[in-house]
Amino acid sequence: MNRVTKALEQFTWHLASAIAPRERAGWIAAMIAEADHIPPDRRARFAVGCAVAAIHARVAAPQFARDTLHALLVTGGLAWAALNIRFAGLPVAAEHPGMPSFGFAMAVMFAVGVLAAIRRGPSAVIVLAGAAVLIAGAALLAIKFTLPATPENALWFALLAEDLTVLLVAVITAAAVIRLGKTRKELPQ
Amino acid sequence: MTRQRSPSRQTKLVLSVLTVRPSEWRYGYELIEETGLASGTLYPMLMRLCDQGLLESQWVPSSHRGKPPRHAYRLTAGGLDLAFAVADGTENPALGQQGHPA
Repeated sequence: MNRVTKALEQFTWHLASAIAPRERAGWIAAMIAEADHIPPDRRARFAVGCAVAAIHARVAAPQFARDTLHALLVTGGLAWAALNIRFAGLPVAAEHPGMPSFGFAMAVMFAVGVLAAIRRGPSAVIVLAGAAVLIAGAALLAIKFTLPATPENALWFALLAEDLTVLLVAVITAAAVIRLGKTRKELPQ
Repeated sequence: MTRQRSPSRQTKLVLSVLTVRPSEWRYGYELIEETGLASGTLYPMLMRLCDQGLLESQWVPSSHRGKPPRHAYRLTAGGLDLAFAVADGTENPALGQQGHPA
């Protein structure tokens, strides 16, 4: 085995160790130990396979799904806040009194939600977004049943319906993050 | 409720190899040689079988001087039940029950 192949093999083992979730560290150690009993010309292929096994273990771990969903919650919240700021600056918003302020207020609300998700976890998102869902839902019903059907009211209705949808998605995502966290605690370590 | 799936073709292959000498501890590379599976397929399967209590593992001293201990595997009683049921085609994945060999 030449030095380059040996170095690549060592790198692959380091990679596998870094990728594998903590609870699978013993398995990576088992694979590394097994490599010492394999003919040198087959070790590199064995190491690559073990790196694949480490990736598999990482993706299969409930923590991976939980972290991915949590990242989606945070990036999605930030993206929606940015879109609200963008909307507030559009001419169509400026034509209607209160709409730019509404856009900025929603952006601030989603930014607060993102901060809550980072600092307090998904349960804080459920509390905040849940309350906002109730308010947005009540406002939607009020627009639908108490205000006249004007183009401006239709625009308000559409805006609130959009935000209500995003808030519901945030609540569902946060609930999924909590549920996956519980699943992980139930698994044997 | 635990969802049970029918074992894959590769899992069946590994189970069949492990039932040949069920009391013996088998090594990962040995299983790779006998099944023809890649390490990237075999080890996730071994992890899953261990998680399900169908396989047991332990570190055993190497028979070669100067070599580190090796991780070895063998089927548990539950794993043997499943392996025989799979061989007979009597496993019932929906209920998570396996038939016993006659």
